[in-house]
Amino acid sequence: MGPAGRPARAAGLSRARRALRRAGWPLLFVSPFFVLFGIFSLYPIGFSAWLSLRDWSLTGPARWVGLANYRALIHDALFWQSMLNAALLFLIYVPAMTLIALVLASLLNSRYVRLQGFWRTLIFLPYIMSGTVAAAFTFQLLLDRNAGYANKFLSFLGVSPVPWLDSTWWARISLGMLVLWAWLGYNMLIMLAGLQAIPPELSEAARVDGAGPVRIFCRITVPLLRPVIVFSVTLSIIGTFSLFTEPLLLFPVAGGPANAASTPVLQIWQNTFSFLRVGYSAAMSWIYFAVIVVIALTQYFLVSRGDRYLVDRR
Amino acid sequence: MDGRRTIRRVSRVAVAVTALAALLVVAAGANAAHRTTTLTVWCWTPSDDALKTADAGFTKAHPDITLNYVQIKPQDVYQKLQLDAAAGSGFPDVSCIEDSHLAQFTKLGILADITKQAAPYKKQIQAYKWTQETLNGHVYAFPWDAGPMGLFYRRSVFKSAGINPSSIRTWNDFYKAGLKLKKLGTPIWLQSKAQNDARFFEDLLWQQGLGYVDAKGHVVLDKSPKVLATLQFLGKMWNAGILGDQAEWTDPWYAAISGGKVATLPMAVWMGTFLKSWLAPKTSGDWGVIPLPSWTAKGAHTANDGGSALAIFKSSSNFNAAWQYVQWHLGRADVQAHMYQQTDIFPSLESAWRSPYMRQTDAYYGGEKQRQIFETLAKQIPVAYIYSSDYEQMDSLMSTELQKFALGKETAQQALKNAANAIRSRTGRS
Repeated sequence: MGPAGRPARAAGLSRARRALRRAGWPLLFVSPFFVLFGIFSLYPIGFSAWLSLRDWSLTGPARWVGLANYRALIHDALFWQSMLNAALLFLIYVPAMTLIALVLASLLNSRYVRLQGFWRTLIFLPYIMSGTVAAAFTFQLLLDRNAGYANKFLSFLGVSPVPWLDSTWWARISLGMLVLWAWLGYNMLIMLAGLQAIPPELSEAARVDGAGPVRIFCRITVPLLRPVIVFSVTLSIIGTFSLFTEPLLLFPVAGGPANAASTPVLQIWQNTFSFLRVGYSAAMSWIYFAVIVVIALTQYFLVSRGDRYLVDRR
Repeated sequence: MDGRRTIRRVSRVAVAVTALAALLVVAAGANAAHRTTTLTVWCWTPSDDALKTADAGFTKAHPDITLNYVQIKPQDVYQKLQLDAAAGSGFPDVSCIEDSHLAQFTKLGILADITKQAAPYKKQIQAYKWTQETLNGHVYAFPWDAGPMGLFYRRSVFKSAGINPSSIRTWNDFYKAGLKLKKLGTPIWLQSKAQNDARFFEDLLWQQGLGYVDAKGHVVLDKSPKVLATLQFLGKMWNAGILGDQAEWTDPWYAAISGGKVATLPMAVWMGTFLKSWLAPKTSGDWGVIPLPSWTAKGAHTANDGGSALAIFKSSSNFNAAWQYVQWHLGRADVQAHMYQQTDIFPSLESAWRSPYMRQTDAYYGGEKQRQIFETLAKQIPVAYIYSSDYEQMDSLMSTELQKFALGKETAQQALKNAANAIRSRTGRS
């Protein structure tokens, strides 16, 4: 033991040094990410935790208030309303988005549709334009109850005008439509990529066995596309809870009628920059973060359970 | 000035401002060599146009001062000032600030104390203005315009409905006129239910010397029977179907005004500048102005909506030049009268009212001496408690409850109680 100990340790050290030397360049190359992450993410996260325990109005000293911000938040009806809005929006928007994107992707992947490139580009175009601001203003004009084209078109069809932006429920639906318009192309593209990864032999085999197109779609395509659908749904959930520009700009008064379309991020922003309640907003951010984590974990749990179920059935 | 409070287009303007600010820094550096001072002035349209009408004279008197205007919408000015306050830098030398938001910035401690410089003007400017510009006895901004409110009306619409404008003395008369107009299918005024921004409700409170709080700063929304009656009157007008349901400051709203689809505009004097310049220039001669209907026979026939000031920033290294600028543009009767003539931005500097221009007829209002009407009204503006350092938040909370009331989701009492309680718990007021 004794005589052999020192050389062994020396060998260990030099091995570590060698490993470091070997890893040095790669570490240097990945460091920009960590440096930027530290400055622009880690530091603000820590700062907001520090702020959430204080009362601060952007200038002057921040006063320690302990958990008072969190206690006040429990009774903040507007904040919980915005959480509820996001949940409702999720229920309105995500199923519609998933279904429409899936159907469109299947159509564009089938042999029956001509000019596929044209349609794909057309559906994807709103996403590339990335003009959420322009889209929100355009939707506001289109959906105006008295002068908007949506109602003019409906009256042409003999349908009575719809209060698109003027009732609490329609406001949520209109917001969902705006988000759908902006993100449909993106989700459709993901699903199209998923569809093209499915070997055509499977559906051919099913067809030989006598399955019709609907049966093939339900029994072959959708189950095989499941991971892609899960990915798209997950992104959509996070997306609906962090909506900001759309509810800010779609309505003449931010957040829509009686705050029916306000979102948690909009509340955080308003409290910080309009009301200068920075500590309070920081506490809001942390609660919002906790809720998102719970939702994400729940979804992860449900999805992985589903997978086991699928395997067992086989 | 601008009636809009909806928050929008922040990022686009921020980029433009950053670029401009960078340019200005370069310009300032270049000018230093020639011993000139460059003043950066933030303001929105049309107020910046009004200020510019006085620049020729100012530059002649102060050839060493160069002016750089940055055009920013009110909400973006506030956003940017707040971010600057957090960063501790980036302020202009001078900025326009609306009275509604001024208290928030005096409280932040970023404005220069001009108590000494403003003292000689104390008696020349409308008394109510100083209360907005003062904190703990110190003056932090120089009063510019007042927002006396009147009732703009469309002559042709009144004529076809058989309404004599001078018959509208009280809000009850206004209501009756609304019923007559309803038969023609024309709303007397536009107030959105679902998108109501509470501004008109605030105006009606101001007219009665009321507000969110009392003189001591205690919340009175749910304690004053007059506030309740005001909200109930608004509800009565909605129920009678005499108000059009259209959000303000939107394209369809502009179209309704220019197209004669609304009979009256109970708004402040500055609405005239929008009407004449771009909103409805072709309707010249078809407008008239009468005093705002009152609540009681002897009640005030006006309220205040808006109004603004020029503030100098503590961080400015050109305080003297900045003061020269403010004094020239806002402190001279001839300059203020000229600005009012050009842009309908009403001076709170009373000596400017003596200008013969005030008694001239105005073809846009069918040859009426409309400026004299607003001068008379300006003197009646009651002291009220709408604007404060918490105004933005109070207005936001009130507008949510007002929308619920308008949509029939709660009673007037519930709306006021909810708004008052939300304001109490969020601002820590009693």
